[in-house]
Amino acid sequence: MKKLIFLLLSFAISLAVNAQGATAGLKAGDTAIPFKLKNVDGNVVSLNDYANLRGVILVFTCNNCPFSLAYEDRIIALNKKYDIMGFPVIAINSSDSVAYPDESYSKMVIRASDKNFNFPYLLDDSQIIAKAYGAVRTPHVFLLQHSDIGFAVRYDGAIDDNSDDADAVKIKYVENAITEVMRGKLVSQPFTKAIGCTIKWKK
Amino acid sequence: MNIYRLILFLAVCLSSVKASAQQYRKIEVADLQELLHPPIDSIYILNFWATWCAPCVAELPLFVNAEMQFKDSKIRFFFISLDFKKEYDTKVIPFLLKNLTNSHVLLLGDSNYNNWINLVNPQWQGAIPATFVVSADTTKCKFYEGEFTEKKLFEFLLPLK
Repeated sequence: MKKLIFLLLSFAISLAVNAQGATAGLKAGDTAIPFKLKNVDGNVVSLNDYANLRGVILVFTCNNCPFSLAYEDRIIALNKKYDIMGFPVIAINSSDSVAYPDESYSKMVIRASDKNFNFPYLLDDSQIIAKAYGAVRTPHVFLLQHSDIGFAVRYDGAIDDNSDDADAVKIKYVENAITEVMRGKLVSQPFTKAIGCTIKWKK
Repeated sequence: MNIYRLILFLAVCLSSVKASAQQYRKIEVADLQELLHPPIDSIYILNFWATWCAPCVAELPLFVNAEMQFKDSKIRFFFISLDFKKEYDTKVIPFLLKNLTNSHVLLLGDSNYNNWINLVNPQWQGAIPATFVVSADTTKCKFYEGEFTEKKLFEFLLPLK
């Protein structure tokens, strides 16, 4: 039975991978795909480590994209606010560090330390996790809620509606989604789009 | 004599600044709507890019070259910059004056992206570079999300000629 589940899961991942992570991938209502990835502190972090929490704010980001940089402080603030409510941040970098050396693991370690990241920053070197989730740009958030069947995706998209200026934000998409999830409601805006750097896929 | 030379020099400087300044324009989402509906006999190529996007900057020379090759056709190229407004004066406009002197560059500063990405194309996820062919003849419409190689761009544009 375990083998069958593994085969089905591998098949699901390969489908998403074939689509280059563009439009395939996970949407609100889908079951989240588990991962085990290396953190900047050298330890391996698994989604299952979070199984006793209410959920996870999963953020695909990177070291060098101006949009990611514009959102770094807001991601740190999200973790500060929601970690105690049972929704901590996990950040993942899936960008190709061969063509873009600034995205290497050692540069991730430096970035996390310079900015005092208060959350794990994981390396998705094979890019399998980004493709399986359907992450297309940075930053790209997936809000996961813990349920009986594991983690389920509740929201997929941007952090808020203004990358340019945090003070001019009118709609905080991720915060609104968490509020609705915590109240047991369906997320009213489960999907948003944004401009961002494309995840640098390996050639 | 020297004063005449100086006046002439200043005049040349001013006129060249003016000529370059005409190449770019700030636009709103309403202007974008117009661009998405070109006149019946035209084809518009809309390339969404930004100076902060390395693959976008890398493919721009290919487009500038293609634009010259298609100069006498019904195809028009528009380079729509999604740069941050606060970088227009320091970074974006100097870049345009240097690299896109003869192209139509439009600066779209509306960062409420979720409101307008689907207007361009519902299949677009918002990653750039992204290039769209728009025409009244919907059989010609298509889009490409990602960086072009010279060969890929040629294959993309040739059927439009």
